[in-house]
Amino acid sequence: MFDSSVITANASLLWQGLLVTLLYTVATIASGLGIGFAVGLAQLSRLLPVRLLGRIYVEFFRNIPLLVILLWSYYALPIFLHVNITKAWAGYLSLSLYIAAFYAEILRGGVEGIDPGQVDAATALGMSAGQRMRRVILPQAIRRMLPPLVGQSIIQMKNTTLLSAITVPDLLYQGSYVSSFTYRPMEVYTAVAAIFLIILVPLTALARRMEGPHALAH
Amino acid sequence: MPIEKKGRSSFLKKRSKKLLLLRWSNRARRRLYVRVRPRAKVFWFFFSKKNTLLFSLILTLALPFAARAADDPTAVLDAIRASGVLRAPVMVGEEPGYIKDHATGAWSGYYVTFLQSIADDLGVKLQPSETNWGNLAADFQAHKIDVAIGVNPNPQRALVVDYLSIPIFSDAWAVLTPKGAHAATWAELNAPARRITVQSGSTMQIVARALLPDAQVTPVADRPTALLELQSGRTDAVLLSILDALDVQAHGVGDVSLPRPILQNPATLCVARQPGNAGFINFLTTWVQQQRSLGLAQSTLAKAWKARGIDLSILPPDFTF
Repeated sequence: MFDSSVITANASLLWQGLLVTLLYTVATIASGLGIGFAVGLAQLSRLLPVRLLGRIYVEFFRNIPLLVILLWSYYALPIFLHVNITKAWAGYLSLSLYIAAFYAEILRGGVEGIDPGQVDAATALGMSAGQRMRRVILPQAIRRMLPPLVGQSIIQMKNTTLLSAITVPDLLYQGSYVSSFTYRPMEVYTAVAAIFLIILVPLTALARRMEGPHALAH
Repeated sequence: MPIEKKGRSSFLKKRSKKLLLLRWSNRARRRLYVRVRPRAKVFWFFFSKKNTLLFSLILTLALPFAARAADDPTAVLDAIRASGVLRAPVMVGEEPGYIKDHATGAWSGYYVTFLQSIADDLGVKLQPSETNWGNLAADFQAHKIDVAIGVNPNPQRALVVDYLSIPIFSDAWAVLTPKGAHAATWAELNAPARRITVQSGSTMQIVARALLPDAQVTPVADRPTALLELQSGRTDAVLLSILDALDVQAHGVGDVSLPRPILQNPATLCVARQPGNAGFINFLTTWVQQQRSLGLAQSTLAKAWKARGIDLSILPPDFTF
């Protein structure tokens, strides 16, 4: 019943798909971290308009389903703004902007979770706002932020499967492509699931270790 | 003396601060002037009485020309030929109509052969644009494609796209059942216990709604998912066009039945509805007529199913495409 030759015969296609998935995962996490860091800091700003902008960004991208953002950026941008965006760019931008909203929230939560006494102590030592953030708050906040950041990044790898909706050749796209000509979807989707498990289980284990009581504590 | 010195220096500081403030406010005033002045100029250029009259006159004279350009029946045809490419949707999971080469990613299949013939007649290059049935309307709206082939005419969609009035060929609706099962008539499938799978948004869904109102109809996203339903024993029949169903059967999945009465499945072409596409539609209609009358479409199809090893003996001898 389970014909594994379908997988071995089309391993190269699945491999190509995996490379695309990994590329999108790494690239969108990197740019998402950059944007998320900026938006997170904007949310912590003393200036109300900046704080508001950060908040609007987060609520906008956090509350629209990723699939809608993807389809919208690929199909609606050419209609509304006359920007002819390629599917590769539409996918990259949507995934980056989407994950950035979650990263921004993790950063905000991490910084706000630091005892206000720390800020007072740093101020008492004569540190400026930038110095306080750089030398006292962020080093502690980043330790707390790491587990949710890893968790969110794992979700991001799974999010990339939505790229197949606009026919970006990621792992799931290649999976449905292989099953479309072999007519063996069961075997192919099982293989796709196995590949995700093999990559993500070690990462999840790492994230769990970070969450542990002795993890990266001072 | 030191006191006097101190007093003088603080006085100087205050004075220099005052000067600085003055300089700032002057700079700000100048900036404001620079910023506001040209805008005001532009505003008055457009809205002064004299110029408003002039502009209205130009617009009144230019409008008929603009309207004529939009009415030009060859506008779309000319735009395609000028661009040098004919953009058409292609999709995976639609063999043998659309076949993507595993190694090179190049497209073939009988629909691609038809599209290539259209592109050749236009003297342009065929540019396949990969999509799926669900996104086809968005592709048209976003001007990502010029023409789609292998679509079933549908009056609701005809409100936004233009279908050609004649199909390039017509095949029949069939069902794919688990191995060993058979469906002789549509009436036989129309029972509350029967589970039917269709592709969502496709004509199969309309066929199922019309002919099988009592059956449990499950719409799924694409053909691989429909086959997954079949392989996992969740469905009694997958609705497919006869050519698609036979191609699946040739791969050892399920058995094909041609339920009676035989239902025609016309495959036609459609283009985006926009001003100036009348010439393009006319060109495509002529192309279809030639394909049909000279038997070109039939020969393309015959070649395709021979290459795929599809056995058409299930069709009645008097069936024509």
